[in-house]
Amino acid sequence: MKNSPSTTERIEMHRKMVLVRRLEERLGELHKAGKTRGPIHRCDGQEAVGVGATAMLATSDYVTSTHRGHAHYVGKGLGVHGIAAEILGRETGYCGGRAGHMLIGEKASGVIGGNAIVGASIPAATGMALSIQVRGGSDVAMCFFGDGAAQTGICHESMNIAALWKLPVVFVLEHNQYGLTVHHSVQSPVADLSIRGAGYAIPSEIVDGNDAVAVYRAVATAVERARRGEGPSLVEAKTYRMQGFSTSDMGGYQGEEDLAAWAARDPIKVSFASLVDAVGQERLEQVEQEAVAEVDAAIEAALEAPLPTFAVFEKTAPYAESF
Amino acid sequence: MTDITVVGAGGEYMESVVVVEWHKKPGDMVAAGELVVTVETAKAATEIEAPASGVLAEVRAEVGQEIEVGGVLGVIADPAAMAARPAEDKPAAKPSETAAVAETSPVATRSASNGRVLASPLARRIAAQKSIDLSALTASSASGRIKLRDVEAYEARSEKAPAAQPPLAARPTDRSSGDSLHLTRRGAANGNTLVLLHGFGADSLSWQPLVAALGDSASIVLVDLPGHGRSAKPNGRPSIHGFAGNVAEALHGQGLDDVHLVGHSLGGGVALALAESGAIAIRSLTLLAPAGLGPEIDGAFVQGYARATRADSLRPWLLRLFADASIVTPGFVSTTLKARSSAALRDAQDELADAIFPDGTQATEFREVLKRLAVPLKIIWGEQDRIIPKRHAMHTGAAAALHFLPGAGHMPHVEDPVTVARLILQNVKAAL
Amino acid sequence: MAKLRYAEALNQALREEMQRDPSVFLFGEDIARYGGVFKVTRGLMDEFGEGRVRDTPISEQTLAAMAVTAAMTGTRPILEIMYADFMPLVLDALINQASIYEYLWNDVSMPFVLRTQGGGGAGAGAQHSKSLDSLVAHIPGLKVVAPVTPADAKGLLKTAIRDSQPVIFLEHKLLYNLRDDVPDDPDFTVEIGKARTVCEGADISIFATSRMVLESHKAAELLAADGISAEVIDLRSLRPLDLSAIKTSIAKTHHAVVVNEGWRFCGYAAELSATIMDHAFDDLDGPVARVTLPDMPVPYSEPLEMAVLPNAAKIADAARATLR
Repeated sequence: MKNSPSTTERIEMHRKMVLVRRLEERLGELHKAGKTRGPIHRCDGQEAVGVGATAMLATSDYVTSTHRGHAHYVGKGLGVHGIAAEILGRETGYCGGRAGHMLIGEKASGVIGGNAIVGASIPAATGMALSIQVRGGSDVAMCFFGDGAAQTGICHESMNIAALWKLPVVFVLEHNQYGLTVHHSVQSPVADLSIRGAGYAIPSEIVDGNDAVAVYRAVATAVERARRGEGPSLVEAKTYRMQGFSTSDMGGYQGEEDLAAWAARDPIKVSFASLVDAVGQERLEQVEQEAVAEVDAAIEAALEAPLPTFAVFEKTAPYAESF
Repeated sequence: MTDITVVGAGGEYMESVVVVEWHKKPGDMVAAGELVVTVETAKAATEIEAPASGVLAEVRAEVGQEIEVGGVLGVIADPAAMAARPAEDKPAAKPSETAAVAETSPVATRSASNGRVLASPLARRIAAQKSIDLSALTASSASGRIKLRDVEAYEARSEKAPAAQPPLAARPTDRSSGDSLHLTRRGAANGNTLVLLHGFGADSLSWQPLVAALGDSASIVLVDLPGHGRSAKPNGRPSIHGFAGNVAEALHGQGLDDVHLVGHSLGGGVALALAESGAIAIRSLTLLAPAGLGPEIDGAFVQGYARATRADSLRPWLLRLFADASIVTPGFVSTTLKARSSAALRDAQDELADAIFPDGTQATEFREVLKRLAVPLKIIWGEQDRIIPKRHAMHTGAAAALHFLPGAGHMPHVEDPVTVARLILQNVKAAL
Repeated sequence: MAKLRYAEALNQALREEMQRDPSVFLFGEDIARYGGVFKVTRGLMDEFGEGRVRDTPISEQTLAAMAVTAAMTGTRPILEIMYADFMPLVLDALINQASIYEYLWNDVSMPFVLRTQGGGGAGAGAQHSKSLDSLVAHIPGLKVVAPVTPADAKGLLKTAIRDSQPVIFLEHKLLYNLRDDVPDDPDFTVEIGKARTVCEGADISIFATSRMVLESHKAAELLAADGISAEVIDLRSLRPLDLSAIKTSIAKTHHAVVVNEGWRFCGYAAELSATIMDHAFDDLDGPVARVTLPDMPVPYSEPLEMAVLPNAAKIADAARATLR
């Protein structure tokens, strides 16, 4: 069983984390400049979870995401231009500007997809796992969800059904400490939500969510287990939301000490430190510069891309004459 | 459990009967011998009494349903046994037993006080296409709304009317030479003649919705009875037979001695008296909630209506006339009041009421007359008539066809003119 | 052609489609070992195995969400929700999930069927007797059908299973024992979006759904006794709606009664009424009459429940009123 990433894979994870970080920073700027619409939910500081957990997946595996999904998108293989163009409401976005940043979906890449109903990603992946089981494939479905979503009824229902039927699903609990503005300690009596796995006979593990390699190892074990038909696993990745709930968040409820402590353990810093001896500073910095340039170019192209034109969607019309 | 059957209830010569009316609802207590259901056997109504005391547990044959002689109409159960039965075993309640909660979209207001003509979208569209001015039309519907049929009727009249002659609807009144009865001609210029006799306290204008519904299907003669509308007060003590003589005389004066008669309420009694007298050849007789078929009548109504001088005192009596209270708009009340503004008219009608309906009782009885008549006969009654009980339609002989109109009170020709017109024309056709 | 009960016709449709397409599978509460509380899925687990006919935990909200994504990823799930009254539990899956993805995302289809049954008349009380048609017919991206005859039950279910969009399949608890001719032909289907003329008439059109079609047919007989010729149209497909059938009928009769067993205010009948106004206003010679459940809970005791349910007499009264 292979559950440790190769150096090449680790460099790729590092690159993708930098892509995501640069994307989030540029989106923050564009939002301030009034060039985006609606709120944007940044995942700065959480990149290791989305990137590390998807690094071992194949294109035919499925990922369901949340309203804070940029790292999941990039990790599962979506291109930065398609993401940025979608967020900027352009025709060249993955969904032609119809979806926006919370709801990006790209079936060909197995990202189906972003979901802004908190908790909805959990039964979504469970249903895909059911489909895989009925069809008899060896693909897996993975859902990302947060500590807030873990308090929904569908989370419990899904885990029960997945374990009962041994569905090939991996539950990745991206524990970033906050449900909107409310701290986890005010939402649940237990600090480690993964202990709930025992209630459904689901193997569970807690990992450092700011260490992409740790996330990779735990998730890879869960993925292999699912592929073997042994059912679901739960990985609780402890991390921290550095940029507030969204760009419309006024802030003020996250402690400065907490922010400083987590900033010191920034996942990109952790990754850099663990790779620098094996790969060399120069190479890593080059990887980072290229990633930054890729994001900047993608965003420039997206800003230049045409805006979509409206067309009535006939398939949802209420009268048979339209069909 | 005791079955209510039609055996021994006058049905022995028949193969089947039709249920006319249930006098009890499921769940009602009944005593042995009490009237529970009326059935019609070849046009003769038969009242069926409860074969045992108990609770009417089940209605097996709905109103209008045909059932073979010997068939079970309903079931009477022991009340204690009913209470003990589990819900699953209970028969499903039939639609007619349940409270009427079906609502319909409210009809538009009948008062066109703002001058706007009420018309259906279809009527508006067709009228616009044919350049017909809607304000020239009369609504035949109780809703007061001009419908397609009104536009079509108007158009048909316009086409038929010779250019030199004013439209029939607007033709000046012909005064009768008889006992000063006032006659109005409407409808077609020729063809079968329908003579319409109005009820107590009304006048020939009360036929307006029916006249519109009849359109050009017949030549119509509207009679104002003595002491009503524009006809003078009768000489001497008024009586139904006297009125019949006045009408015969007036019709003779117009050369009308071969007619189809339609009478409403008091006018129905007059029609029966006229038929009895043989003074006029009557081709068919259609009676709307007629007087003269039983002693009961709402005496309080007769007096109260005849004497009312203010909207406040008239309105409650008008409400009693109709099943649909929304007909009695303030405009309707004031128009009626205006037509009754003459004190002489009110006094004459009060006197008339005292003579014809002494002590709130119908003094004249024509049931046997009716049974002897050999012309096509129809009796039409509003299901919700509160002035003369609809059960007077029973025991009227084998030949009369009975029609009970749901959603209508004592004025079926106002509340459902289309159905009434259709039934009258059926009767006319049956005579040909 | 065989005489089948409505429940048997549904069972036959499920069996035929499962034989035809291995990606079709069933899940829901009590449907596998017990065969469904209304016996629609009887015998199917024995024939197709526990993998394709699954008993589930009581987790409607998740089951519906799973149907959505299982359908997006290569299977054709058929989910049974035991009572339409439980539909509020699955609304997130329908409103926030199923209804959006075909529009938002490229190359996505969602061929799932959600079967449920509603309606009153069986003494099942306020939480097991509702018709919530408007709740689902309201949602763009869903199809909603409500067959009333056994043949339509079979034909529409087969079409629904083969459809690439989500189909909410509304049954009625008082229809399961209805017995009538059902074609044996495994290729027999009924097109979604086509209404059925139950009886032709000239004076008034009655547009009805589900069991109310039967009551409307009886109402037409009551009206015939009064000399009123009523045309009864079984809409069958609540969404997409057969607008041309509605327009054609009103162009003939100029009067309409709409009948639905759901609540009145903001109900399915309200939509029909508004649709008629939108598309047939100038053909109307009278107001559109609505016959519905009153705006209150469905009571338990028989006389109370019967008082609220629409029936033939109420429909006939409404027709007479609008013709007046």
